[in-house]
Amino acid sequence: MWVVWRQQRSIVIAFALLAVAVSAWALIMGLHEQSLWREYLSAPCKGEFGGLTTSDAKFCEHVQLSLYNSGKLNEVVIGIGMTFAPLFGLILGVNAVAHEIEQKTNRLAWTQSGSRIRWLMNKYLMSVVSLVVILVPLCWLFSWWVGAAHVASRIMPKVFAISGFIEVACGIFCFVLAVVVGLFVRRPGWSLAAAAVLFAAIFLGFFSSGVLLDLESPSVAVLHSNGVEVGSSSGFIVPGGAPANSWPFSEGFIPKTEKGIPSTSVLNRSASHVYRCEDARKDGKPAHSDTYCLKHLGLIDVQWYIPDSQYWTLQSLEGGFYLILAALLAAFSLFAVRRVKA
Amino acid sequence: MAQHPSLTFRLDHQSGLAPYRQLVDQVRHAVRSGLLRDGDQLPSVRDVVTQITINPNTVHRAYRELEHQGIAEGRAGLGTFITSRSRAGSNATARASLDQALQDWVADARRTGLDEETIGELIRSALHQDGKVRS
Amino acid sequence: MLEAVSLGKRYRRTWGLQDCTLTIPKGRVAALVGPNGSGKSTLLRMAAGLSEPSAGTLRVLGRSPSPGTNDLRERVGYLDQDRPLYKSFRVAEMLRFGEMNNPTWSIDVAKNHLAHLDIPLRSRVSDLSGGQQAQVALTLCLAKQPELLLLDEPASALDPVAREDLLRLLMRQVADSESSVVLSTHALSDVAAICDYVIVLAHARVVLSDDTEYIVETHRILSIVGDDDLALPPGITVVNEQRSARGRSLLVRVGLPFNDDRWLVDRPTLEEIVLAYLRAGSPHRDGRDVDEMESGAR
Repeated sequence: MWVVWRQQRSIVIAFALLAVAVSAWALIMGLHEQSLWREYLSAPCKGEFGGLTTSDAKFCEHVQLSLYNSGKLNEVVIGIGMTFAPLFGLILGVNAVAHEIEQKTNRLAWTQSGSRIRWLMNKYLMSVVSLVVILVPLCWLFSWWVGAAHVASRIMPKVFAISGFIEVACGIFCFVLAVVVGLFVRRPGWSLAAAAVLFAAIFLGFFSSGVLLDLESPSVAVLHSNGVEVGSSSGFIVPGGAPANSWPFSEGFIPKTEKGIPSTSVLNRSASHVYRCEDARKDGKPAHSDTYCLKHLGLIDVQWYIPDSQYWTLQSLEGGFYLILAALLAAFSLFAVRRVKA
Repeated sequence: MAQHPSLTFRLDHQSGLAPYRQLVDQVRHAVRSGLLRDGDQLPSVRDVVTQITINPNTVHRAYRELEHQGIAEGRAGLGTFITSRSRAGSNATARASLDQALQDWVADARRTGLDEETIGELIRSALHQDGKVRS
Repeated sequence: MLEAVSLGKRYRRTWGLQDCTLTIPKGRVAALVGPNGSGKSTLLRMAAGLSEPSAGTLRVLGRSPSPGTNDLRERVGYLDQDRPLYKSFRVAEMLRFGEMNNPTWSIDVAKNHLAHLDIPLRSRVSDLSGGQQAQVALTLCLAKQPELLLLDEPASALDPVAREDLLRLLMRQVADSESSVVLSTHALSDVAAICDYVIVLAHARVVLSDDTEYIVETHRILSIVGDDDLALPPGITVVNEQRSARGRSLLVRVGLPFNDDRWLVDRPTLEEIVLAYLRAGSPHRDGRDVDEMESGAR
């Protein structure tokens, strides 16, 4: 085990330092944004920027501008959060196997007294420990940052992957993937590229397949009006609509009697009815208000959302997916390592 | 009974003479010229192997040959030492009778019609067979 | 100690080693000679348990080596052609690597060898010269105190001084522990001083395998001036023939003593014998039971 640590020492230390740097930056940014939001959401602005006295309005506009400016960097933080763990896992994995094979030191290792399986198992154990020790604190910090920076509800797709423990699972999965690819591709550069592409494909596939939505049954809320609810982590959630901190993933008009999530065609039909109703003018009278139209057409305005209470369930589903896949790949690799060319 | 410091072996790979024979000859030469005296210790196998690039088995073989010829004797745990003259003396008598037997045999062989080259072949192959039996 | 019967290894479309049958007795320092690509590395890798045979059987110290046979690896030391070491490690860390991976490891053997070679334990492997790296790699094998050492071209790409140092290091270990050695080389002269058994490979096949002394004893160079197609004496097998304007020169294997004054007889060196077999390239397995060619046959 000491040998594995010694071999990956410089990579782990480099990523640890990077993690510290990234954490420090996210911490500073998060604290800054958190105080700005606190300012904005309390008196006098109360999260709105209309209907205020001049001096208040100027102040609130200024706060809003600061929020906007600091918010521009949020994308960068999210980007870093999404790539740190996979990159760490991939590089560690490529160093563990593909680099050894390229340097031919595997021939040295495989002619010592231990078996190839024990060689690989030691790499897995040591590397998973390194990954967990560095990624868990980092993920914890990112989870805090998502709330502090009011980027979105933590359950929303934009930030779901960088909060909770999904990135730890991704990191471990990327490591195992890079190990397996390395066993067959045998060159570090090509292994890294191939494994990165594979991971990206799996990640995006999982994401866009909406399988999480299929596994969870969303809740429905009826909309009443617009406004800002104080205390919600996303800042702009419709009160009376989906509750605070939830993930509203769809919205539209449906007949009062409709049950379950309607199809796109129903939504489109209802919407066109309402717009026709609103645009219609009779004898120069102004257009109808939407409230009237809805009542007249027997429609309600609803939002479908996943509530925050489902957060850890969803985390376990996605995290579990990557961990199970990693376990299967690892089992395969232990089988394959004996048969692979030295 | 000191280990002789100035006896360094040399191998000539071009000579056509087997390496172990070269070692044997060098020791015999050293004894004849007085460089090695009774009771002097020959370098250990390990020391020879450190001095020159040679197979340890070759050194073992050479020392065994020297023992066989009565020039040296191995003392368990101590090393190989040049023997006293009295031993060499008794061996001289043995040698004399061997010499005589050999001359008689050569005379017989010639009478059968074998030429010098063939006789040499037969002797060499007999030596080889014997060597294989011993090792 | 090492027995192969019709051993073969196939790489996709070509055979790296084919129809290899040989027996190397215990206690030998055997040289595996042949040009690059003749199958030396293939044979050594299979003996070390790094790859599986495609055909035939191989037994090393009585067991079949394979990636799954763990206990054989304790008793066999293997040194790859590339002499791989962890470049970022210090020499002392390489020794620790050996210690952690081998139950029969002797740190004293390792330290003695390195001290004798003046290689400091604190230096990084990447700072050592090629020759020193080779010596460290060999020390890793030796400290394991194996019964058998398999060395793939240990002396190649080394300057003469480094080569001598390496071979003497090896011989010191053989003197101390009576290990058997099989080492490969493409230049016999590099290792002729230490080998008592020779195996010649050409085109993935074994063309000669025997004790050095026996080989030298049973081969002669016969030469004759002029162009007459003189018949060969009985019991002679031609290994390789060279004709020139002046006459013919044949390197032959002698089965029986012969008497023919018309031929000029010389004793070849081991290198000349090996070269003749390599040139001939046709299989004469384990010199003793080859079918004798009819005398006078072309």
